[in-house]
Parts: sequence; C-alpha cells; structure tokens
Amino acid sequence: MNLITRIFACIIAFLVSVVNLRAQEWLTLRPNPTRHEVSSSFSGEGAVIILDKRLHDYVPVKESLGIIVSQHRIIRVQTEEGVEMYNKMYIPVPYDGEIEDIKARVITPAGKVIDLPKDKILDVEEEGRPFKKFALEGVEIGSEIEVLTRVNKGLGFFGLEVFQSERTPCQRAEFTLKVPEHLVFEAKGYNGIMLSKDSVIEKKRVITGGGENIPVLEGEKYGEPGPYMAHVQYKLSYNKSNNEKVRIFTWNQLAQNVYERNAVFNEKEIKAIAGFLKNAKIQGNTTEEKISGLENYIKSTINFNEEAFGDEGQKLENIIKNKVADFSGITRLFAASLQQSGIPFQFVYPNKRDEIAKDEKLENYRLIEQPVFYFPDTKQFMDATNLGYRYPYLEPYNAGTRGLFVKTTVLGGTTSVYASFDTIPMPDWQVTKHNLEATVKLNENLDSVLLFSKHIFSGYAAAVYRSVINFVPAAQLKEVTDDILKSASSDARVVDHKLSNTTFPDGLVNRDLLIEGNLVSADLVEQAGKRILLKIGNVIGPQVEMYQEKERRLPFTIEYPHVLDRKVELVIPDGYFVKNPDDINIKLTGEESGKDDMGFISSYTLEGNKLIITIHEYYKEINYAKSRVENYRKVINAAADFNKVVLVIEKK
Amino acid sequence: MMQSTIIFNLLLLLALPFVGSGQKFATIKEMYPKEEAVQVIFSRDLRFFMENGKLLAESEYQQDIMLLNEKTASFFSKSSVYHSGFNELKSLEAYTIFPDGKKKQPITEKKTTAATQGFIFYDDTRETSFNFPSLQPGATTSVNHVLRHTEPRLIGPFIYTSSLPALKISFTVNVPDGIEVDYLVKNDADKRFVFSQERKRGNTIYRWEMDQVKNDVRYGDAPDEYYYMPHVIVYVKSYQDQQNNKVFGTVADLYKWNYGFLEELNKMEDPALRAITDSLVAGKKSELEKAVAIYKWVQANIRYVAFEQGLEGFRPRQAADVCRKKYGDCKDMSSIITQMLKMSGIEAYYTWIGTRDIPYKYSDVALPLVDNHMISVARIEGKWYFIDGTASNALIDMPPHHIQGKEALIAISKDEYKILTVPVAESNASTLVDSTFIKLTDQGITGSQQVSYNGYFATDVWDELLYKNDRNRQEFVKRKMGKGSNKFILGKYEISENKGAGNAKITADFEIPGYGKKVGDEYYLNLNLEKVFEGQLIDTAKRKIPKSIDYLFTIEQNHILEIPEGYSVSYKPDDLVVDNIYYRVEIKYTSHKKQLIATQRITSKSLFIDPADFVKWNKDLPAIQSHYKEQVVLEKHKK
Repeated sequence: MNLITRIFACIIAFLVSVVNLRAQEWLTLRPNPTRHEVSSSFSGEGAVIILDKRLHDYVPVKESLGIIVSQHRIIRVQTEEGVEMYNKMYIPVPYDGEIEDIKARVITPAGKVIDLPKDKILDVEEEGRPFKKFALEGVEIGSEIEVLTRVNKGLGFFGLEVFQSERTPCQRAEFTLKVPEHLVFEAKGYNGIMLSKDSVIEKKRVITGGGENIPVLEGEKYGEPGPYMAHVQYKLSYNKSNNEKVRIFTWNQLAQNVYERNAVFNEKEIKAIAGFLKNAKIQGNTTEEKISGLENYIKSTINFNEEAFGDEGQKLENIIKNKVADFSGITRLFAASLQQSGIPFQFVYPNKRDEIAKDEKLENYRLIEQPVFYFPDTKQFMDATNLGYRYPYLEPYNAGTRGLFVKTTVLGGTTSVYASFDTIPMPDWQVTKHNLEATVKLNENLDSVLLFSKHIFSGYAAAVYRSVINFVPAAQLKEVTDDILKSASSDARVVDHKLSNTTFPDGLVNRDLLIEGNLVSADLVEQAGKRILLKIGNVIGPQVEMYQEKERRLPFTIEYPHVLDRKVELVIPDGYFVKNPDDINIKLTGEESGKDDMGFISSYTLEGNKLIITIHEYYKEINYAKSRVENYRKVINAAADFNKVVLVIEKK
Repeated sequence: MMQSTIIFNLLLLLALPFVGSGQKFATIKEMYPKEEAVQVIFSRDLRFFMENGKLLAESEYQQDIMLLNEKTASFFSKSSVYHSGFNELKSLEAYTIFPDGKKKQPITEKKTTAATQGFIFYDDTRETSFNFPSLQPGATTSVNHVLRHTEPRLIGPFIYTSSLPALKISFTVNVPDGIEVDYLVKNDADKRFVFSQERKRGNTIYRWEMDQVKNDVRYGDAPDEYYYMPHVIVYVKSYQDQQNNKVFGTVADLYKWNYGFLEELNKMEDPALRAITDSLVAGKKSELEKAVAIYKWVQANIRYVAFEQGLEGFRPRQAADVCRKKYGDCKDMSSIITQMLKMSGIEAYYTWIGTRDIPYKYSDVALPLVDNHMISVARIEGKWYFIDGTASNALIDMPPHHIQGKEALIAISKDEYKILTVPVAESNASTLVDSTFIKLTDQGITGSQQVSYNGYFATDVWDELLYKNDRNRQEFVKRKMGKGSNKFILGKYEISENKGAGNAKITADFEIPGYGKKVGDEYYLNLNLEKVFEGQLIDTAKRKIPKSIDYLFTIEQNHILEIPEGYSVSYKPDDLVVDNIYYRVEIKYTSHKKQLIATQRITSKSLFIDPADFVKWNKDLPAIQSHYKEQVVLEKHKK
C-alpha cells in the first residue's frame, strides 16, 4: 500500500464517525477527558494542535439557509512559549453572523479539568474587528486546552479553510461540509488535505476528509509559505432543484458581477467624474501619459483608507467631494475616469505569488480581492490601490503569475462580459537594475577614504525609491539618501549628494533614477603595521547571506528579476601597490545547476595607478526549483563574500 | 539672517485677524518650508467643578493642524482621540477648515474600538477614529473634544509630544473657590512656559503657554518623554463640600488612597494556597531559602495576564484566585507572593513602585502618577528584598533592572508606610566573560568559544530562552555568539542555563571563512572580533535628548590566537586604556608562549547621560574606534 492509499484508507476510517455526528453533538465535551499522545516529531514544539476539526453545516433558517460553523480544537501546550500563545484566546466574530456558543476548558497534566465560566468571555473590538476573547484559567506546561465554538453565519457559497500555520503544527485536521441534498458543492483539499467525493446521508450531501501530522511551515529567505499551506476550498456548483445541468457561480458570472459593480455608473456619478476630470487637467498625448497622469492625480489627491467608513468611501460623488475612499471606491473612481477618458481597460485579479492561488477549475469567489487594471492598448498594468507602485509596475507579487481577466466584447450594441485566465508578465530581468559607479581614493594620511558613489536605479528598483522620495517628508529626505549612500560605510560622512530623475513621469519612461554623492569614511581603512587594509568590498554595501541555513522546505522565489552592474575604480596612492588583487576574482553562476539564469562575476583590470573592478550580478528568473538550492545559495553568498574582500596596500 | 525672518513671520502671525487666511498659509509655509504640517494650536482647558457634592473635572482639547504639502496632505485624513472609564468622551467635534479659512466641512462618521495596549489583556481604553474630508495644502484639520475626568485624582499632566512643530501650545486650569489645587512644572529650567494667573468671578485661572515648539526626533535609547520634555502637573489638594476633604499633597495622603485598595485583600487563608506554600517551604531551614522557593514557584506558575478595567487597574486580586487561575498582573503577583511569604512566617508587604519609565520620586510628586507597578517587599534576616513577580527570571537579590534606583512605597500597616530605594546593581554584578580560542586555517579561522553570563546578562539569556522552541534555539545561539563577520558558521554548541547557580553559559565551536587575511608570508588579523563599544558616538548637533542605559555591566572579551608553527608576531597594536565617569575601556595584547591574547574589558558606569554631557561621553570614543581598526601581523620565520 503506498502512502497516499494509506492516508486515504485512514480518512475513510474516520469518515464514518464524522458522518454520524449531528451538529448538536459538536457542543458536547467528552466526559472524563484524558490527555492525548503527541507525535514524537512535534515534541520540540511550543504547542501542538492535537485536533482541529471543523464542520460547515448548511441548515434551514427561516425561509432560507444559514451556515453553522463548528470548530473543535484541542491544543497541547508543551513549553512556556506554548502557554503564552494559547492561554489567551481570540475568536473572531464573522461580520455576517454571530457566535452562538463557546465552550472551553483546560485539562491539566494531573488530570484536573477546569471549565471556562461563560461570564469570562469578553466582547471586544480590535483593529476594526469584533472578537470574543478570554483567558483560560489554570494553564500550565503539559496542559491541554480544548475549545469548541459554534458560529451562525450568513449564507455564503464559498469556503476557504486553512489548517497549516507558521507557528503550531497540527496532528490531525478534519473537515466536513454538509449541505441540503439538492445543492451540489465541489470541494478540494490542497497540500496534503484529502477529501472524499460527496455522498448523500439522511438527505444531506456530505463531503469529508482531512490530513495528519501537518508541520509548521515558516517563511524562509526567498521562500513564501502562503501558496504551500494545507487547506480546503469549496464552492456551490449546481442547484438540482433548479436546473441540475447549469453550472452556477462560474468565473464568467463573477466577471459580470465585477463589471456591474465597478464599471457601471449612475448619472450623478458620471457628472461628478466629468467635473473631477475637468479639475484634474490631465495632460498627455499618448495613452500611457494619460493613464499615468490620471494615476498621479488620483494617488496624490485622494486619501486611500482600507477601511473608510460606510458609504463615504463608495459613492463617487462622495469620494470626489471628501477626497477619501476605500479600496473598492478607488477602483470605481479609476474605472469611471478611464471610461470617460476613452481608455479601454480590463479588471484583473492576480494570483498573488505569496498567497493561496485561485484554482482555475474551482471557482472560489473567496479568493477574489482587489483587482488591478490591464490596458489592452499598451499591454501594461496598473495597481490602483497601491500607493508605492505606479504604472506600468504592479506590486511585484502581483506580476509573474496568472490572473483572472475580466474581458468585454460588444456585439450588436450590447456589451457582454466574460472571464479568462491569462499570464501577467513580469518585466524582463534587464529592466530592473541597481547599478553602481564608484571611485575610491585614499586621503593624504592614508587613514581615510574619499568615496564617490553613484547608484543607478531602474525598473522595480527605481519604483520603490521613487515612491519613498516622493512621499517621505522633506525633512527626512536627506536621511533616506544618506542611508543609501552610507550603505558602503555606516560611519561615513556625506559631503554632498544629488538626486536626479525622481519624478513619476521619469518612471513612466524608465529613466534611470540617480542617487549620487561624495563621502568620507575612516571606516573603510584598517591598519596592519605599515600596510593599509582597504575594505573595498564594503563599497557595494551589505549583501544578503545564506551561509548557514536550516533545512530548506520551500523553493526560491524573488520579488523581481534584476541585474546589478557595478564598476568600482580604486586610485592606488603613489608609491604603493595592491598586494592581493586576485582576491577580487569571483565567479559563480547558475550553470553549475544547468542554467545560466543567475550569477555573480567580479574581475579587475589594472590601468596605471587605477585598479578597475567590474561586477556583473544577475537574477533572470523569479522562481528557482528547490533542487537548485545549493547553487542559488552559492550565488547569493558570492555577493556576500565580495562584500568582505579586503585589499592589502603596501609600499613598493 | 534666518532667525530674523522667522521672528518677522511670527509677528505677522500674531496679527492674524488682520491677514487673510490664504496669506496665513503662505506665511506658515515660509516659516516651515520642509514640514508636512504644523500644529496651529494645541490647547487644553481643564476645569474643576462640584456636581451633586462630588468633585469632578473636564478637559477641553483643541487641536488644529494646518497641512502644508501637496503630496502628503491626504495622509492626515485619519485621526482619532483616546478615552476610557476615567476619562469619558463627553463630546467630539471635528471638521476640515478649507484654505480660505471660512468654509468648514464636518466629519461624517466616527468609529470606536478598543485601544488596549499590547501587554494588557483587557481594559476600557477606547479609540474613537474618524476621517477628515477634503484635505489639501492650506486646509486645517480641527478637532475639539471634551474628556470628563470621573476620578480627579487621576488627571494626567499637560505635555506636547507630537513630532509636528506647534505654533502655540496652551494649558489653562480653571478652579472655582472652595477647591484648592497646586501644580508642578517639570523640565522647564529655561522658563519656556509663560505662566499667568488671574481671578475671574470666583475662579482662579492658571495659564501656561509656549510658542514655537519643535520636538526632537525620538531615539530608541532615550528615556521616557517625561524625563526631558517640559510639562505641567496639576492636582487637587483639598475641596469643600459638607466637610473639608483633603485629597493629595503629602505622601501620607497618597498612601491613604493607595491603602484603600488593600483593605479587603487576603483576609481569609486559602487552604489550597496554604498547602502549596507548606509543601514549598517544607525542609527549608532559613527564611531566605523559603522565600526563594516561593518566588520561584510564582515565577514558574503564574503567568502575566492583565485585566485592568476601571478600578481593577488598582485593586490587587485575592491570592487564592490568582493561585487558582494561574495568572495575574503585577498587583496580583504582589498579592500572592506577599501572602505566601506571610504564610511561611516571613515579614512581607504589598508595595507600590514606579518603573524607570517614570521620572518622579514620592517626595517630589506624591500623586498616583508616581507609580505604575506593584511588587512584594520582604525583610529577611534584617535585609530588604524587592520581589517582582512579573520578572520570570529575576533573582531574589537582584530585582529587575526596570525598577532599580526607584523608590518603593511599602505598606507596613494601615497607618504606617516606609519608602526605600531599590539599589542599583553595580557594574560588577552583571558580567559577560567571553573566552574565544582561535586557530588560523587556509580559509579563515576556526575556534571555540565559552561565554558566561552573570546578573542581568544571565536574566536576558533566560528570558529569551523561555520562548524558544527547538527550531529557534540554534538561531538564538548564533545571534548570541556570532562575531567576526556574518559568515560566522556555528558548529556544535551547548547551553547551560544554570538558573540555580545564577549564571548562564554557552559554549560553541565555530568557523569564519574569509576572516583574516593571508598574503604571501604574512597573516593579518583583527583580534577585536567583537567591537563591543562601536557606534557609540552621539551626534551632538542633532541629538538634544538624554540617553538611558538599562543596566551597568562589565564585559570582558579574550580572543586567544594560537600562533601557527613557524610564525611569530611581527606587529601588535599598542595597548589602550580610557577611563572617564561614563565608561572604562581597556584593550590589551599579551603574548604568552605560542599564544597572542587580545583582551577587551569594558565597564559601564552611568545609567543616564544628559545632553549637556554628550561631548564628554564622545571624547574618548575616536581613540577606541581607531584601536578597533588595528590588525595584528604574523610573519613566517625566514630560513
């Protein structure tokens, strides 16, 4: 029996018990509870979730349906950290429902059972969300905390249940979906969760399953755990009482909803937008210039507030009047403005690279968040709700991925809207650069360095700094530029500095953003008797290192592909020579693992009294397979090694 | 030049009623060309009054902020005010004033949520937030709110802490006859507050005003703002209703109020707690041994969870309840420790104390704001012990550093109290001794390290280890032991917590590829693998606020280099000793047979450095810095 079949057999085994469970039983606690066995692989953890069992039960409520969401958790706390994590519990209250009941108790290592009195459950609202919270009494190391919750939720037809976390492993996860017989749901388990096909039991259609020994999945350097988390997704696909052949809640239907909500406007709004655009006086000849002009205007005059209150943030006439909008209000404002300006666009819902992806075959609307804009005329994108990135750059995790495009066709005067999955491209690796040109001279006493350095940014690298430069208070701007220049030596004194091409229109044409300046640093020189040790490697600034890593679990993914070309010119003092120039030579590329898609290559030439160092560092892809871990680490570390190169300068 | 322009502009501003608002914006913008916004007015009017025979007070706050920058004006949209059960929000009005200075647009919606601080689990602090509409340069956001002080003993001081410059701040206190108040002005040696006092229809009005306030940026190692920012404390001494009520004025008055929270505490002996206590002290001979056993039990078994709604924030809970729940806040821990000590026959008292966040002394400010913490104080064999239940790893004879040097108000009995100062731990009480043996290799260096931690260094280690799981322990050791460069590769290691012995020890093997340099027949190596006292220079032009240090310490680093066969030391740096009233740093190189030993010994001597003394603090740092850059050179013997 292979592993999968074994896991499956095991799921089927406990399926029987789950199915016979009625909702009421969810609130019954075992009499005379004892503690559980903890899997030896989790013995070093602060806490272990012994059981995380969830039931979503669709039940009749008045004339409609409602969902009873029940959860049963048993958590063993094994260390002080574990106690600290779980002796205080927060249960979120759904915005469209209420918590019907909470039962919680502590089972101490001595076997004592301490129930949580109901009056110890507090209602709080924190960071805009209502919670029930309580502190459990009598928790000590080795205790088990058992919590049962039963929540009445408003009717919804989509689900997303994550069973893996970055801090506590889960020994056993169980999930059951129970719906009226005439509703056909589709459900899938991902990353280790297995689900059964649905079966009808006592007039209820039931899907059930789970997973075992789900470890902690933490973020790693260049590793995003989000997409790899064990989880369940489900959605309603057919309503047999209506028409069992017609698939419902399709991506096309979603596209139509999105379009109606975000791209159809009433008279009042259209009028308000006309006034808004008149005031904006957006100039530009090309479509690109128009888009960018509109974006700059909106992003600098309207305040984005993720949770602006009520209607304020939704209706366009209010947004324009009050200059405050929530995210969906901003999306509508852009859509209306673009429409009136005659610029065609599509809404796009990216699969964020660091989050759970939409399954193209399972139309789960729960994974629909804020759209970005796609412009078919220019084939470029815009992140409407992100202040940091400007056309044509999307927030990097929104690019280099798949996305759901909301498209339209006009036939005989009627607009029809449909959905289509497509790739959201990532700009090519040469587009994003962070280059450096530097000159290094020693002062007369040979105890300090005069450094000129010029940082050249383009693409994504420039996008980040451009936003910072444009939004940071003027009083702090010098600190920002100093930070960049002083990456070579934190103790250096910045003599002068200059910024060029900092505006957003410069960004639109990808004009290089320049940050340059002269510095004096005593830090870069050390003495060894009569010799001078010059820390030339510091000139490129501190580099990410991966010298000693825990066992790697995730593949490599970087924000964006990019290149770093650096040229460092060292003026050797008269009468001196560099004793160890060959230390500069480093070459490490992806060829070691079969593909030249990353590398760090440094070399030098000597021209008279000048030592000229050239460095070519590049990362052409955003994703690198786990099998290439070693090679990737070596390239990253090659840059970190260069950062430590010290030249010995000695009298001839 | 610059100075006179500002004064001229200020004169213009004072004549505001005669100038159009557009002009006002231009003037302010010229005064503050680099600022995002300016607080045009920040004022608080505090009013005392009697209502149904009860003493009450209200503060009306007015905050107007003018926005100056086109790009960032909209960032000022979200704003909020804080309130709680003791400071009820009575009214709130907020609107945007358009640049013309006339048109106003009010906010439309308000939202109130919990604003409990991170370390408290539950209290009644609330935040009411709202969005200002129609923001643009020249617009002013205006908030007026009134807080009703239901407990006038807990009225907070007047202080301006915003990072925005303010044209004017003002604090007015209106006191009707029959109520006697007093005030204290702190950190205002330069008399920046302009004070005035007047009588008006049976009221006395006190007023403090300050023009052109610009606060310094914040620093991570700065003490709390109340240590250095000018502020005014106002309190009620007495008031008359049917009788003459004395409120505050002396420590005795404060003690009387504090003691009121203890009257019902631990009147009954709890059998469960008695059983635990008895089992802990059974067989222990001395009182100290018993106290240590009790303290350790509380540290290990009672977790910090704070419920501080209203007077819950002042009244300790019964020791029996704390024992049953296995959690509590500082007052609850004071309750259970004191009770358990008493049960075992040890002289012990509930005690109030202000942590080092609070600058005042009881003799100086005899008001509830002088303390924020409770501990237990015991007298054992004639010696006083300050026992803080919230410090999971503190030793009984070394109270946590956040209360050292602070006064403790000890509740001896209903009518008797005692004030004692928690001693400051000397620099030799917290030591870190690192002995690192180094061998040169072709790739760099390898070595083994042994670091022993005493005093607060040990508590730091224990505190961190308390919350580390197996996966994080290696990272922790690497961070603690890492030196030389970020290429430090940690090998085998061992942690000995030695809590019983009061010191912790970590040993580790390591290698640092690329550290040091071999060129031809020579090795160059910087033996200051850790530049312990690096980056200490204070930018005196920029920083105007004091520096605070958690605790005094001594660090000794010994880097012992094994000289390879056939080599000898051809250059070693000179020794260095600097010694001033803040620190002593010694760097010394000694040759011993086939070893070269570099010793760094650093002793810190001061917990607080005033800006006036920064120059003195800085004076010896360049010499240390240049010593840190010195390498030793080993040369191969010529044949």
